[in-house]
Amino acid sequence: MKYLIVIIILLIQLSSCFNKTHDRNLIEGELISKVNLKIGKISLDSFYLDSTSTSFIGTLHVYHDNIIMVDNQFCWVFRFDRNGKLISRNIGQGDGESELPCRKIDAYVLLPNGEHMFFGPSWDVYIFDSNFIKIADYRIDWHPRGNKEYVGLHPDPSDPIMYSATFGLQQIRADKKNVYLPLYSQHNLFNPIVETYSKQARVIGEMDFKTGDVTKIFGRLSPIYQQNKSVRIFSYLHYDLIDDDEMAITYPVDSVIYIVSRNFSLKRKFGSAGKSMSMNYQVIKEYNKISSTWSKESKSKGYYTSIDFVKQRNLLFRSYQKSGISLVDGLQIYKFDELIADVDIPKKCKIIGYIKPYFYISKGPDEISGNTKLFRFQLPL
Amino acid sequence: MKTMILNYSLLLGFVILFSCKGKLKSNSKILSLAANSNNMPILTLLNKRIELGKVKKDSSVTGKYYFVNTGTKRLVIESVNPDCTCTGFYLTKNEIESGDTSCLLLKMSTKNKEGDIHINATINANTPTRFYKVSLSAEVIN
Repeated sequence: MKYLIVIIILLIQLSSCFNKTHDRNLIEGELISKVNLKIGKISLDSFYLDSTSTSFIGTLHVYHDNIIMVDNQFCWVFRFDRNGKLISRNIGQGDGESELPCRKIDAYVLLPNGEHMFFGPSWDVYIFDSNFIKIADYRIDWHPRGNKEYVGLHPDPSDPIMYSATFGLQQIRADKKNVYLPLYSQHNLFNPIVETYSKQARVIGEMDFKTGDVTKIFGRLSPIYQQNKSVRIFSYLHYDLIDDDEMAITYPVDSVIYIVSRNFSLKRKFGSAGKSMSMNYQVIKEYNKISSTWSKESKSKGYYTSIDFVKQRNLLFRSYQKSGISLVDGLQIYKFDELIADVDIPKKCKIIGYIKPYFYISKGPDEISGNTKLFRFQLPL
Repeated sequence: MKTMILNYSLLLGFVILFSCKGKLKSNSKILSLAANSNNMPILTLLNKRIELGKVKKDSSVTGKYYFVNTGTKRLVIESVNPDCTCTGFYLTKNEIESGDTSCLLLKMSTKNKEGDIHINATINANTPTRFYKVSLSAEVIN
């Protein structure tokens, strides 16, 4: 009996330690701030992708020697060579065997083995092999614990039923087994405007892409969201996978880059603030203003827009928007924990990949001009 | 009452049909394009983007998109997919002979919306290009 009581006490203590680690995780640890600017400027070479019948709503990716353009509206996948010459047009919207039956693509993930994964608007998922043959389709199983009626009145931040994926704001990443979905909650009683959200909200869902099971939800917003109410309109994160265990995390309003394990325990943190980033965002008190306020503030204020790890060169890139009427955005380059460059790039551009010897950046297809412009550059490292 | 609603619906249908046709018949440039096409239907959109500016919350707004078959075969509109359940559509006709015209009307509800909104709709047709996009933008104010 004595032993049983001791074990119970130990378990309770362990459990409280575990919760504490998650709440305080990102606050702890020393912030490394090494700056050694080896590159002052990058020389950009520009080119356009071949003209195609696209909606100009979509994303760009790099796989091996090819540039992939995914058309979210028409569900086409275009493959181009490294210079932008069209190689093939595949898939498309429709009910055929090798077509996508969804009305539009909400998100696309290029799996490490070259398979193509598409998320439709109703948690529907489709996987095509590298030859664009459909090999799987299913719906995401979030494994909710509560039902909608109960959770509607009793929000539980640890229940997956509380969350949706923030498709469209960031690149979705996958390893050999899982896809990592960025999460947010729109619950009336638990959303970014609510005080407890910044501390308790889970921000990533791990989904087994063979089965569609969301096996866990984890991660938190950075401590800055607890300290500053005005940043809460940016309550999401960007991430990339470094290796089998590590993830690099950046938040739109936090200059710190966090390297965490797949269970979100902090390994190290580093980073320097970008240049010309005014971050005095408007404070809002009503959740229904969040979307329109984000839309307005994200046009003119500074914030971090992506984080990308280029494995072939072991370099970490973070892009950011400068505030005001700046004609350029910024791109930081980190080698290990050290900032080695903070250079200007064209507005809204982000890293899309690396084809030796070039790094490719683009803002994606441009509906207004009706073309897709890419830039590439080399780094003397 | 039922008859009155039916009459109004019919009247609305005719107004849409004739307003579309009237505008297109005067466009001789488009009709001349028909001669240049090969042995296939070609869908030529006369307008793709409509920006409505400021509109009221909890109302409904519409956008009209005109298109012409500049090919030599019959054009068939197989589907129209607005990307929001808040948006319905009406097509004056879905089979269009060479040189003939049609009009797509998108009707969007602004219920529970605020700020900038942007809706796209995909038109799927029996042409080599297959898909076409039209869009409707507005700023919803209280």
